[in-house]
Amino acid sequence: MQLTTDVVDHIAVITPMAEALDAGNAKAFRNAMAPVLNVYARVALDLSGIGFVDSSGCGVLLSCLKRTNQAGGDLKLFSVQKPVRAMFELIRLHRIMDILNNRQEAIRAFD
Amino acid sequence: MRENEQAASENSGRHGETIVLDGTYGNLGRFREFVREACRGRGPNGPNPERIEEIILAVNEAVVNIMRHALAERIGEPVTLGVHVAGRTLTVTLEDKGLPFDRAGVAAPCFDGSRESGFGIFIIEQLADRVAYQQRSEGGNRLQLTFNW
Repeated sequence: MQLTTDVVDHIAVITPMAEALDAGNAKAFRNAMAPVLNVYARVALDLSGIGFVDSSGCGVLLSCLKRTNQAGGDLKLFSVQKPVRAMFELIRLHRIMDILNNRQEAIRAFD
Repeated sequence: MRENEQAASENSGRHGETIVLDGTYGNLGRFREFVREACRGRGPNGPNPERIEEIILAVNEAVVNIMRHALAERIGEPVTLGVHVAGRTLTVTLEDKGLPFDRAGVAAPCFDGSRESGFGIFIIEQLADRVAYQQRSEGGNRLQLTFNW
């Protein structure tokens, strides 16, 4: 999966180039994120283009969160579409992962 | 690609549609789109957009479970997805020829972030109003999910 990476104040702002994060591309997302997570512990993930996330997609987000936490950082999500937010709430992901309204809020949340 | 789509019609009075697709992850989007179109086809009498997304998510999870656990090493074998609408109820029937499903063997989900999987059945049972599973006499599984709105 293609990602665009923008670095602001040592925070990697990542935008996945996909419309869904599901069992079909979760592994590709994990592989694409690996080099980012090798370098950056603070990661903000732009989900504005993702209209569907299933449990496999949530699983790979949890995996990325663990990696950043282990490195002393964090993974924050922003611009989450309504159906995706509903999915996160269903499995309580919003309780263990910060979800911000937009890019600016996500970057500020690392302060 | 093995594929057989039978679009039924409102004209015939039968509000049902069936699709048979290879059980591959690459087809997940097509399964979802089929359900979305079936829901939207009900027009204003159909489920609202939020309910449509819930139905799609539940069906997606069920299809993934079939691929991962029922088809397993035989992933790619066909999965049949039928959608039937009656009034304000949509029934999805999924059939495969894979290994039998054992609900009792499914662990409860863990919400503290320590596990990255194990949410599929929970999601299905949270979003569907009724979940009925049976082993087919000819082998394989039949899962019926009922959604009201």
